[in-house]
Amino acid sequence: MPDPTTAADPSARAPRRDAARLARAARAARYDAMFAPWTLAAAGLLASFAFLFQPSLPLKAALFAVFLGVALSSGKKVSLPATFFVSLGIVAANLLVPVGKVLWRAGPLVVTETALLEGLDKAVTFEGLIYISKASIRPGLRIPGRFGSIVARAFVYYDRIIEYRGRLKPATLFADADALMLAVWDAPETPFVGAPESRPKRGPAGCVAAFALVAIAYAALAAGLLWRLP
Amino acid sequence: MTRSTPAPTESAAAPRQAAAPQGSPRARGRPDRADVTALLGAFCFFLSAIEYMIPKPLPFMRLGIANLPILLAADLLPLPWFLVLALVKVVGMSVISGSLFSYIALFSLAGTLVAALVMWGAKRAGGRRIGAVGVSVLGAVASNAVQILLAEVVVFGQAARLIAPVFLGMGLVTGALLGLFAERFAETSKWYARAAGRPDA
Repeated sequence: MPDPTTAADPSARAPRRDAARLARAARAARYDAMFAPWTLAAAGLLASFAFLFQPSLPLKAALFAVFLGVALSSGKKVSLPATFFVSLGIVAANLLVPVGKVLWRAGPLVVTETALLEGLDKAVTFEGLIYISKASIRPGLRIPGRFGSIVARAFVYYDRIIEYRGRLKPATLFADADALMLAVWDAPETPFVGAPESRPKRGPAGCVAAFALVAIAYAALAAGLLWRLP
Repeated sequence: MTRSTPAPTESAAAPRQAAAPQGSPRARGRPDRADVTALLGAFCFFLSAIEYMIPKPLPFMRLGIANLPILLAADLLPLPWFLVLALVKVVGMSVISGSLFSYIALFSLAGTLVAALVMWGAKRAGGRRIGAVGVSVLGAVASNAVQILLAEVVVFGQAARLIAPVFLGMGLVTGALLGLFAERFAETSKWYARAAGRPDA
């Protein structure tokens, strides 16, 4: 139920939003202090395979809850209403084509068992992979090699675009866009290749936690596969 | 955008150096393709961030404005660098949004690569007979079509066909608008002329 005071005065919600943002930033700082970006990325990649091929819907839903919790603790922005409505859309779309036993009818809408289970499975998979990615891909992740150096350079230019102080007005859009490109391109060079990265020392807790998550995902996969056996 | 741009040559480098402000990296040397690729990749990230703020019914249903730098690159970069730009866009955007291991990255990869290849093929096959609007519309519709196919396989099932007309229609409209912008920008932009190695910069 909405708080009548904040509903009447939208500005009253601002301190709450600020507090939430600060809390998220603190969680992100703790998370980044615990996990190295590559450890997380490797764990995320491994876990995503186990999750994707999980045949049991209840186990997949349980893993989804685990990954949602990890994504929340990582300080990434998580919108539960968006997750709910996207999932609802996926399930509804799958129900449009009736497959399997009829569970119930409501006018022209026929809810069938196979279509419902497939829709739920696809929705959980879709959203679960998003939360695995949110938890395991950090902005500090550096991709190695020549390709990685181009991506890193693109991020340097991206920062310049964000910091650009000029304006893009509709009347002079093309000239303004051109000025932006020239300003970003001709800005003084900043080191982007081979620059010594600050590598904070992290204890073994991050590696242990990442390994535990991957182990849970694969244990669930094994259980799911055994579950299907006669 | 209808003209084909000559590959940068040593003779073209001199005017470009003269046009660049003194002390800038471009004044010190000829811009290499990695540099142009990185800058266009950065604009893909920026436009993607803008697109992220536009409400959409599903996370992967995008207008495609982040493909604008790829459209511009069709005249600036050879095919290998052009494909590198497409990959930089997908990987960078996935890292920024934290969706690298999700279906969203898969949709983005498929849509971007198909759009890039179709735009490149249309540009090379059509030559002067096809403008930026045509190239852009073909790329946008191809990108949306492949995303609908993927949506049918991994998310929606046959119901994906129900959203196909709207999604393809969106591709037509945004593709045409992006093509118009790219054509005008390529004609008037000093940066574009410098990146293409044209002496009138």
